[in-house]
Amino acid sequence: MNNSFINLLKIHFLEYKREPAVLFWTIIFPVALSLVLGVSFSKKDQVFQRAAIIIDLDKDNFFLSKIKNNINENNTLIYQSAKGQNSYGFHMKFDFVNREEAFKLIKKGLVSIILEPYNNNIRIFFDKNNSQAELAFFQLKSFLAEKVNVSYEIVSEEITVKGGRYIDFLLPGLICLGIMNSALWGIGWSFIELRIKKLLRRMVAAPMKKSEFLASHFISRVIMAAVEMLILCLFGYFYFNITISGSLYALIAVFICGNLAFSGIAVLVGSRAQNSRIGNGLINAVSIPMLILSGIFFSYINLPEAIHPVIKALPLTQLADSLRLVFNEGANFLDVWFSCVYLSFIGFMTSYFGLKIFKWY
Amino acid sequence: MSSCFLIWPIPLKNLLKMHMKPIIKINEITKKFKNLTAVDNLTININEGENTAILGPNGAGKTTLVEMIEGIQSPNSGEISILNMNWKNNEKELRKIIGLSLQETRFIDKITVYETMLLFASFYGLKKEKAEEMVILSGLNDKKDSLTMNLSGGQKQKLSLGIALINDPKIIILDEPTTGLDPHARREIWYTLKEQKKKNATLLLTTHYMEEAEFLCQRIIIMYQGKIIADGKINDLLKYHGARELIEFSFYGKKEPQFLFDLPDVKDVNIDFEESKIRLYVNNISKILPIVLTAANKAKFKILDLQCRKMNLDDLFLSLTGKSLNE
Ligand SMILES: Nc1ncnc2c1ncn2[C@@H]1O[C@H](COP(=O)(O)OP(=O)(O)OP(=O)(O)O)[C@@H](O)[C@H]1O
Ligand SMILES: [Mg+2]
Repeated sequence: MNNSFINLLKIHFLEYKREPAVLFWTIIFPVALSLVLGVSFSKKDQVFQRAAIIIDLDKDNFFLSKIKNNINENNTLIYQSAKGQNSYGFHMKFDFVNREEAFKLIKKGLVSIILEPYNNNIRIFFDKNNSQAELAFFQLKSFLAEKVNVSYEIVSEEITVKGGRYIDFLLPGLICLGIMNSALWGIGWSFIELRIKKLLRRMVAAPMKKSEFLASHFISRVIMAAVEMLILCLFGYFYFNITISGSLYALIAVFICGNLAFSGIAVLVGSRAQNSRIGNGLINAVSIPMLILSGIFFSYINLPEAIHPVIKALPLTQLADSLRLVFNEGANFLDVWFSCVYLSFIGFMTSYFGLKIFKWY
Repeated sequence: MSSCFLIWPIPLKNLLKMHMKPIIKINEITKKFKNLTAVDNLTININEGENTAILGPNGAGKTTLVEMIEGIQSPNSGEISILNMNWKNNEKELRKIIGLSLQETRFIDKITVYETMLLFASFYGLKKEKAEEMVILSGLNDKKDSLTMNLSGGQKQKLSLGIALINDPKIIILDEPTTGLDPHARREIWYTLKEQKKKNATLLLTTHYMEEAEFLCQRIIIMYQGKIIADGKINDLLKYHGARELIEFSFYGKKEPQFLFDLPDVKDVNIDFEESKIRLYVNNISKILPIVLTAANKAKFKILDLQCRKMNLDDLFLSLTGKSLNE
């Protein structure tokens, strides 16, 4: 049998096979990037530690006042141990929040340890498997012994914070970046290239079924993006011990919807351009702002509040945020359904308009 | 009785014409790009089995015309019907019966000749065997497993041609199928096409080569600036023009030799100052040449590199437009 759809699909993979450089850039490169960035940002002991202190507004707390005596106006404790052979110092910033907020912060990796005053005693929450949190605990320990004189109890089973390291933040972001690039270049650019070569019109005149042509592009991209995600996940699991804390179905849903969104955008981007400079420019104009704003490498929390709504409307932000929820905060489908609907909507709208203005000839 | 009456008044010539069915009807089509009219209100019929070549210099509108026939571009006004179907309503049927090659197509770089053929075969719902057959027919069997990016220009043209013929089309439309090829490769393509012709296809091609038009086609259409300036069989065209032969020579100087225009029986004079060449279009060289030579002598005009020959299409085109076909 000589099936046209299978032939169209096969061509994408033959191209991959015969151009191994493409494989490097789409698969090895993200893994290498996550290795380099993950190792350099995650394992190094941060000079600045952050801790959350749970405050109960109803009670006047002795512990709180003791802490407050030791911190500066930025809520930062600057500690220096007595001079000697093993003398050391650290800075630790405290966030005074309620219980719920504290656990949110630790899950997001914004603090590495939580202190909760409790009947003249304090409970300390941190993840023993997290080296940074462990360091924070040892630093606090000597401070507490010296300056506060309070007994404490360690509660670690309530939290295993995997999402606290930079790599936990980075890896889902890299998967999203892969989905975006795979669609924009693999679909959008491929359309433009075929048009430049006058091959697109030749194939349509052949008569190629347009639906098969579009589907072959979409499916080959989804397969490649899935392989890329799988490799990143396996790498993350074996090297950084990253596991998916949420539901696998939610992960698949987010992944498919992300691919829909970016495939649609790619169809729109590749719908008319007839030369490589315009094509390149269009793809960069779409991808670079998202790459910067959507918090793939660094959280957008530090960007001005005023533009947060805009940032959150970007498909890459929606995709990355919901994928991180699934990876790090144990989200299930109900937590991400809105993003899925939103991403699919973007995908359908952009492909609808893209196909309306599509230049086949 | 009544049937006798009906047939009787029709002249024999028209009876023959009735036998020739128009397969492509083009009615007053115009195509404009901004303020440039690439095809200007053209009307042509092309009959079944009538091989037609469209000649014309660069920018004449050949590609624009054939791409409108192929349904790739659409005219601003006018209609095209092919076997009484049109592109708006019958695209699917038309695609099946037309085979075409574009003036310029590149293929997917990392795909082999055979895989490319296989892909196009599958668009028509054809089997693998057909793809193999076409690789052989296009003379690419030794290049079967080469990537298309490694093919020479001529091999790429052969591949294009093979794809154009893969569905055994009723109508074959080729846009400059042999441009840029060496004479040998060009001949190979001609023979492939002649072979295909045995399957009763109608061939429409554009070309810059007169020999190609003469070898493959009975009918010649010459286009210039979006219009048809000549249309017919080669011999008829030359006859219609009034001259059959020409006298060609070089000269010195920048002034028009006035005496040439006073000669009797010269149908047309073409003076090319750039190449310092003069062409006289005549009907009877042996009678006129002595007169020309005597007149030149009298006018103290020096004739160099004298040539006398039968007119060909290129000469015809030159006399019609003042431009060479290959320009
Ligand atoms: N898409 C387009 N946009 C603007 N102008 C165009 C376009 N396509 C063709 N033209 C113009 O229309 C005219 C006819 O072009 P066309 O390609 O039909 O010429 P041609 O006879 O095929 O020439 P050649 O022998 O060089 O292939 C040219 O002047 C060309 O510049
Ligand atoms: Mg052309």
